[in-house]
Amino acid sequence: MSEVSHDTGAQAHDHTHHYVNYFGIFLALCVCTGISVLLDVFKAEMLKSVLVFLVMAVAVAKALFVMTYFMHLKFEGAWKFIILAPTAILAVGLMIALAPDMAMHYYTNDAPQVKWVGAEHAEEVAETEHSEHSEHQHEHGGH
Amino acid sequence: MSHAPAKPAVHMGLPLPNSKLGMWLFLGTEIMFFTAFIGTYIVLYFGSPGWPTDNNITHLKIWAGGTNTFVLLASSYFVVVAHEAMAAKNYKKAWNFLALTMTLAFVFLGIKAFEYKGKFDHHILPGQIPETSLQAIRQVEGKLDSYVNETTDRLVPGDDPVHIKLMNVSTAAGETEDAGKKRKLDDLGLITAEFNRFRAEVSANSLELEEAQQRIENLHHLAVVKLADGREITGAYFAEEPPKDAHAGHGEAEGEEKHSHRRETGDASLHRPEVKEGTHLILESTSTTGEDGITHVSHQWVELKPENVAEVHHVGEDVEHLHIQTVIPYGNLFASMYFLMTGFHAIHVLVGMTLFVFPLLRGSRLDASWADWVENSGLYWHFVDLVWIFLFPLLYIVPGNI
Repeated sequence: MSEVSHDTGAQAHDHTHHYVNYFGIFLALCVCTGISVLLDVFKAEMLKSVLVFLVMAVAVAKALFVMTYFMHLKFEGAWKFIILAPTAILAVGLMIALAPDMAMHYYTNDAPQVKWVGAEHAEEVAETEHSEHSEHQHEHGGH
Repeated sequence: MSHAPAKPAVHMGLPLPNSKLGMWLFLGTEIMFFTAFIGTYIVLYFGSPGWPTDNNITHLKIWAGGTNTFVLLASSYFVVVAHEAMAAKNYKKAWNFLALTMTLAFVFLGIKAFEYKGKFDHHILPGQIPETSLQAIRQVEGKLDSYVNETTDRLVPGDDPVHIKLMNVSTAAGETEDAGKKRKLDDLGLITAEFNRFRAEVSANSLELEEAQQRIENLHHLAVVKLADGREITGAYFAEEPPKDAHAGHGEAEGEEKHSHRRETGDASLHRPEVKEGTHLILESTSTTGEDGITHVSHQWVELKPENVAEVHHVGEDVEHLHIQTVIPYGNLFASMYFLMTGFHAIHVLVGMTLFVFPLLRGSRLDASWADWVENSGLYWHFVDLVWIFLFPLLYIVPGNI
């Protein structure tokens, strides 16, 4: 226990190679998380596709921070590519393989759920069309 | 880097300990494991028009997910600092940071448990969510059926099968000496009668969702109401103020007035008028046998003055917990994917915690021999953090925006 009390500064001396400011990385990760939450709060202000792009970009940035510094991949040898490349390819390949059947099919989805949603939306659409129509009438009345 | 290149047992030509290579290979399989879930989730999302995205329906709380992201990031930071301290041979410091990591893991699971409880409370569970009106109606029918069968089996004495007991409910009520049990059996008979009517309507497919909701609301408010004039009405009873405020003595003068408020419509029981302030509302059913010998039951909503109500016995309270659930198209797929992804992630959190228990148990005896263990379990923990980094936006933010 005696060594514990006096070696608070030992870290800097002992750990000379690959000095990383971990706390700085941690702060950057916190800022990224804050940006994600803020994007969700202000999502009404921006294009949906931009929101999704930004949110996922932030997630990728965070993942890279964690992998590069917390998992020390920056300082590892080339073996990291041998281990990670196949799994990354297979992971992405899986999604590509699944996509056509579920999301890119030629036929119209006529599941009962879709009909239920369709009936709900039909009313909404009718309402908006109606209001748009009356707005047009107002415009015409103005002329 | 921390690993002192102590001679590996088997030299593989790679500049890293076998344990670390093993951990990285395992993490490689873990990447495929979680991307399979995430990929399936993304593909199912795009393949299911109408996927639930409204946070009021899915009960996903951005603050909870955001807080948990922060908690995991902080714990990841503490692990890496613990690993640094191990390399610096500052084992006390390493132990402290591992303990902090463990604490944050508990915080994460606590918030997760809170979120899960919300899902359970709102029945956002795989296989439990109605996705169409008919499913919603059939679901409550099934629940009521179970209730009626189980209660009958419990209350009616004897070893007869339930379908026999169901026919003997009123007989059993007449035979029992116990007043409390008689009342329960009477209540059961009333609920069963209402349920049978509901079931017949469901079988005939004659109920819209709103009408079924009114039926169930009526059932929840089913009561035996004694009036001040001695009459007894059994029906759905809606009171604005508690019925105990009613005073028996005042009713008689107004006895005639209430009849003038009767509403004569088609099937009035399916459309309840609003309960006006200062009045109570009851659904009165009267059966008349016509000249053709067929019995017709008609229903009308009757307004009651509170002072005309002498005594109310609430029957429907027993089934108040059985109600029509919100229809959520693709809610079951959503719930499955939600619990699959967050559940497996939570299991990984538990495994990570188990890994940290061992060095923590060493206490002040933690030493250099644990350096690899801390590094490898740290790698695992960072991976758990990585998964959550992607789950958070994909579950909480992106849906509904693409």
